[in-house]
Amino acid sequence: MVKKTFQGRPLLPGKIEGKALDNADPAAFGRMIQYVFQDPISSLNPRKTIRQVIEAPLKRLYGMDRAQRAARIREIFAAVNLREEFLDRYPHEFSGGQAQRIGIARALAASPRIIILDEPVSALDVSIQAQIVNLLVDLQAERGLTYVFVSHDLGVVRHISDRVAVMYLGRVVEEAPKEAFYDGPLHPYARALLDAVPVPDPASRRTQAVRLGDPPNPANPPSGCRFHPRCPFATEICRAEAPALRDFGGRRAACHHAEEIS
Amino acid sequence: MRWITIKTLRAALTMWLVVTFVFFVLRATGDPAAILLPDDIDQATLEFYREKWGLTAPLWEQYVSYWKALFHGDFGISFRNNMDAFALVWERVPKTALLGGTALLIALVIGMPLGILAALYKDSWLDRVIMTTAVFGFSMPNFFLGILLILIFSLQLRMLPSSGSGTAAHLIMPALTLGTGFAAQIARYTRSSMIEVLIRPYMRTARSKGAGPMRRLAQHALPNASVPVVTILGFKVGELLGWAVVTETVFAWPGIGRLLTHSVAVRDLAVVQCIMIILALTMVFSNMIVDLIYGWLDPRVRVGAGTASK
Repeated sequence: MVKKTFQGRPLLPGKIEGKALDNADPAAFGRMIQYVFQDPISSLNPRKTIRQVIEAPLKRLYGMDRAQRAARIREIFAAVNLREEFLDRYPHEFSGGQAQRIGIARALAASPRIIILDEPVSALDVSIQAQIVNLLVDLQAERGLTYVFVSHDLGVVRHISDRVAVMYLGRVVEEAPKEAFYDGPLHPYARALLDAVPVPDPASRRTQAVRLGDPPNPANPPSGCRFHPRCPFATEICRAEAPALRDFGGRRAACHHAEEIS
Repeated sequence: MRWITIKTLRAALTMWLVVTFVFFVLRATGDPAAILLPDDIDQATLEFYREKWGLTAPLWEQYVSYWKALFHGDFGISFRNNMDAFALVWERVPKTALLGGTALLIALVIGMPLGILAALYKDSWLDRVIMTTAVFGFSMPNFFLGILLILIFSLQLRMLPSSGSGTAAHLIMPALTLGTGFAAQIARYTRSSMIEVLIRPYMRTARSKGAGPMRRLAQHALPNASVPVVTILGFKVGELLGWAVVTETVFAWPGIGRLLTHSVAVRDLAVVQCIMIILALTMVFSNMIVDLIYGWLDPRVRVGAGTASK
């Protein structure tokens, strides 16, 4: 899944830090990559205590003994601001924010190099979202982690990312350093996305975002550039030919007219 | 414990309804003395037995004195052989328990693995074969399967005894007859419950954590899928007893099922009532046990479970 993120070109060319990634062995995979999911409570087995949930990877992936596990859990719980009294409770006894901290603790416990966060805060209250995002930023800095942060919330993305990739109908259409992206994206879809972000200021009267109509059926994507039926800049070539992801000096975009638009 | 009180009250209400219903229905369907005694008996003898069995008093008086006797642990005496009704029934209980227990075991040992396999390979040929067999299994009438087994294994192959009890060989066919239909149902419940659990987000989490397929099955899928299956199991114990009546008759298995059919036929009121009370008690208790297991299986319904401070 990870490897196919960038239009068939591997984001990680089958290797992490020089070591080949073993897809066939879930344990080897688990030591390298861990996930945090959108719905924190239902992502935890309702029949297992938090201790059991977090201990499992330590036992299975690293063969830690009881004392080592206890020490590791204490360390991780302190890192994500959870109290150890939670360890013997069940998932349904927690609020969404607490459960997501547990989800993060669970992912961290396996000491992965990469954590894939699939909409990790979109199920949470806005006030809790900020706590979790800040926690993630701190953890990343402390532990030198790589995040693949999947989100619809461009505000959160701006806060947490180093590089941003925009996907449309299953393909990456633009990939750029955060500052460059938010200063002015190259792809028309990425532009429309940024224009659609609401500004919480009634005095702000900016240009009306372009209305694009409904997205096409992803099972039967349009010919050529997949965005062409909704693109205000579309021409003949867009209908006929799928644009390649081209290099624009440190950033990439898949648009035939990227030069003219920017 | 409010929970226990409610459960007990509900059980008592069930028992009262069963006893009352059986009491009146049996008496509404014919005079036991006339049925049990020879046709050419003279009026005086008939009256004598009616008096002896307490059938002359008004119905409601009979009802009240029956309850009084019940509270003293007296289930009355069998009209047929003047034995204590309870002793007569109790003597048969181990036989039925053995048959029912074996059938339940067969049902679980066959039904659960098949259900799991069908769920894991959903929509494959294996799933279809298992589910077709299951439909066949519980559509086939119990007595028919029993007679079929007797035809094949007793009359044709002469491998197993067709009736009676005593050896393990006697147990095989009745237990299979009783167990297979049940196994088919358990397979279906297990399958649907597993399918539901397999798509839950925590199954994806387990996979992302690096848990292998066997571990995901044993640690994550099965414990969660077993909750509804256990619930069904409790209700099915009563059904199993109902089927046992038929099976015991087919194989002349000397359990309470056969005693029941026989006693109903000759209006042996005390024995029938005693059996009904024992069956109803079994039902009530198996449901209570299910409630307890349920709490153990599912932490969310655990009684008195605290909730985390927000």
